[in-house]
Amino acid sequence: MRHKLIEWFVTGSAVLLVVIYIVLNSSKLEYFKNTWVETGSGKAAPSVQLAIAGTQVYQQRLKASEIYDTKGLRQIYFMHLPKAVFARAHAETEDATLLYKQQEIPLSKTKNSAALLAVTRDERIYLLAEDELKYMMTVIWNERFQANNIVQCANLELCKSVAIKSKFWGPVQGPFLDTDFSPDRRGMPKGRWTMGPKTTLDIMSTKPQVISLQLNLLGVLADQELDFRGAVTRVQKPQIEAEPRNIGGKSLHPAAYVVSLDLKPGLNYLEIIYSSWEKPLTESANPLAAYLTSIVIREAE
Amino acid sequence: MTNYVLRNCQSLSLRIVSTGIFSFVHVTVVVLLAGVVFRYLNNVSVPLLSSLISVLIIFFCRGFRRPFIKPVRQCLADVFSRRDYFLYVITGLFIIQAVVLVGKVVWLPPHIWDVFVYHLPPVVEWFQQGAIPPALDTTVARMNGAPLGMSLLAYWFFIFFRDDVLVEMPMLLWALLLAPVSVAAMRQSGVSRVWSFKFAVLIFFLPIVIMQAVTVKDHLGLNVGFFAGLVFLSGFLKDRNHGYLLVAAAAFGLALGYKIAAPVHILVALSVFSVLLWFHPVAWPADKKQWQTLVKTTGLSALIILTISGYWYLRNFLVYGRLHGAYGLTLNEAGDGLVSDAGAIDTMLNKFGNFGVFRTNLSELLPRIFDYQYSYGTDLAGISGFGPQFAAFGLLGLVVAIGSVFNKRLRQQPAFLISTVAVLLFVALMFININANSYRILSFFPMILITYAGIQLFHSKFLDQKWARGLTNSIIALSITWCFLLLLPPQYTNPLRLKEFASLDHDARTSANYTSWFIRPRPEFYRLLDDIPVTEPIAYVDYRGSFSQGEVGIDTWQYLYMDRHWQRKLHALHLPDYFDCQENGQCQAGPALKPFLKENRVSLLSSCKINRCLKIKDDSLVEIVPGFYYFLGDR
Repeated sequence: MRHKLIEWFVTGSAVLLVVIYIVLNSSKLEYFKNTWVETGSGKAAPSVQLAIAGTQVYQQRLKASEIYDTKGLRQIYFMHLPKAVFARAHAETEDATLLYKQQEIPLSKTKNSAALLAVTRDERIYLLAEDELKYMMTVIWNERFQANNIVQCANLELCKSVAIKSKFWGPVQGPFLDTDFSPDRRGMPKGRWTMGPKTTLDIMSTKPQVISLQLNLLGVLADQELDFRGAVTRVQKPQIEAEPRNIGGKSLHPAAYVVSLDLKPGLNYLEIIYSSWEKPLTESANPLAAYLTSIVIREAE
Repeated sequence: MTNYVLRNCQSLSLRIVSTGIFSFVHVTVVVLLAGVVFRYLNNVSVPLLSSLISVLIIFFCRGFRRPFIKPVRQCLADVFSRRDYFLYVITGLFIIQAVVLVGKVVWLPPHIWDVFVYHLPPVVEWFQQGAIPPALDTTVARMNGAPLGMSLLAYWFFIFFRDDVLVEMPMLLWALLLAPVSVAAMRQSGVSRVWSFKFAVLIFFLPIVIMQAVTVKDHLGLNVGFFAGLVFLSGFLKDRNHGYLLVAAAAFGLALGYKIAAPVHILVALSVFSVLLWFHPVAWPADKKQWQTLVKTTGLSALIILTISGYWYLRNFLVYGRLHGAYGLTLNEAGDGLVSDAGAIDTMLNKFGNFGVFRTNLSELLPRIFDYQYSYGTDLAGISGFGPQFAAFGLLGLVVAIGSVFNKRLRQQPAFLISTVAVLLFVALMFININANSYRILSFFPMILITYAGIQLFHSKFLDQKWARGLTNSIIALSITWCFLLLLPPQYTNPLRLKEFASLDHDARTSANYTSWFIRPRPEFYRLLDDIPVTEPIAYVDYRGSFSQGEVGIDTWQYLYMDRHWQRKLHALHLPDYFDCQENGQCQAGPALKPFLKENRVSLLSSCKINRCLKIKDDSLVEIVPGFYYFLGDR
């Protein structure tokens, strides 16, 4: 009888403990499922083939580089070719093409002839000799040096006479791939976060002038409206494609405003006042209002 | 050699375990000889020395050949003739899991932080220097204090291909060796072959084993080696075969060569063994001749241990004047020791007097054992990795193991030594270890206690009943399926990029491109690394302090800079020698920097340890991507 009781106790305990373990760890099943789904939704690295006079001479898989050009539109890639292959491609550039994503892309020599370049809609692919480093570093530095800004000018003169700064926006970030590790960054274009209830821009002008600023942004809420105060003479809201975009773990709403400003020499202000913004879930989180993707400065019409 | 040492041993599983251990010893001794003694370490000297030693072994042991294939075939035929379909299924899962693990070893690059910090960087140095120097130029104290026995095996698996494709194979081999070790422990205690097989497969599927099997860390090798050593010690108590002591010494020697904490393991094991030997009617020497044999075997065992692992402790003593080398040293930024701790023995004694650590560990025991607070991960942050099988069988084993001390029948079982050592060592380590990852070193605990539970269930006649067999099979099946499924996805990566990684060219499948630790904070830098010609050396700022919040780890993770063939040369720039830094991480390059870069033909400089970078100001340095600088000076 005692032996039977011990048996039942042991059996019951083992079953109970294993059930407790599995119930307590049931969230791991969800994690497993998500990992499986995410793995399945990834994409293989595309293959690039270099052909000279119709003959394939080199092949490589291209992984996302996450180094973008100045405007944050194209990723920059480097392919280091064996010296002999590079020399031949260099000598026969007119006959050389890159086969990439089922497209034949012509090659051109860079200005200093240190590399060959292929440009597609989303990529700039540099072909270099296998030990070339200096030119590669120059290309990256050059693109990134100019990339740390979301302000664009219609002409060089405007950029010299107008400078825009703010203490109320976040750092320039992005663009990020739609496969980025962090859901908060996934798929986000280049831009700066601004916070509610308002953002003040400091606009320094070297002379009196009338300009227009086009603010392209992604609002955090569908019914968000922006009001502008300061050196403002007129505000327009051009119609743009306004389908919400599910990026950065949020549904973001594209919008654009064109604000005409009458600038006096020296410091001018532009206040952007948001009708609504994201209510932060924690005290330390920021009350995000909009993601400014670009500010284009033009002379006023 | 196994047959020579074990002579009359009839146990197939013990012979397999012994062979595995001797193979690891062979590799260890060959690489140590070539690297330390001859200081000529490369892909010619290592195979040559290995062949030479093999020929000598074959010559000396030529009279001790015994068939191997036939007994294995007979054993398998015996097991599978029982028509136990459940056994067929779990054997199939075992084979599939082994194949998956081999695939992960081959396909995935090294991806665990300790591996980046101190397991592989020394191997790269050995490969590039063609020798094993006594100390390396680094502020990573563990590189000059830890016994690097597992790294010796990693070198062996690198040198034949000159590619890091198989550097993680040693731990997988240890994981596979765990199956025969478990079978041997159970067979020694009279458990049937079928049930030994089932429990061995269950133990192999422990999450802590599966996760660590695809790394080149040391915990699994330490604990499987330790378990194997215990099995041979208990075998000696049972049969008084002195050869068992030699194999146990080899296993303990390997364990001592893997981890600085291993002396605690061995001390506990030998203490319990000595007590049991004293009281044992069979093993205790009865006459002078037996005494002489025991003394000779003990001396030879000590020599074996010294040969396998002595180098690391001797090196520590000669270079740093203490057995644990640079461990516990407070280093300055140049890597020089400033303040040392109280010494290994004093520190240990202090810790044993501290019940606070023990109490905290005890209060965290159940949440850790049930694994529910955090996700599975090889670093076992906040979990134990003991899995459902420990909840079902291990805890039962623990209760019986504690009770066995008070039960004469249980005390006489060979497994008493193993279970007692496991419990005592677990308690001892609960006094010493307290951190989020402290259960990594405790994998011996579920291995041994599940084995012990299997032994007790078998001997209690519980498994004679059909319903009990069915229930036990069901729990085993559930546990194995759970572990198999949930540990199938690769870890520490971005699953969204896994397809991209898998499809990359061989040379681009590097740690830097794989690991989410790297591609999360500074993707462009790590993705750039394999675009940089391997002939270009990289200098990295080497420091232990932290200049910003959120910095991961105190040591530099060097391995991420490496290409798969370890061709790239790295240079450590000790912070105070080359930079003047403020508390906010803004640094000015010092006068020694440019001459150093020029002299060593270095154009590239990284100011980051892992996820945070110093900001360096100097006209001759251009920041290409955050934390990565190009040197404009004349080359």
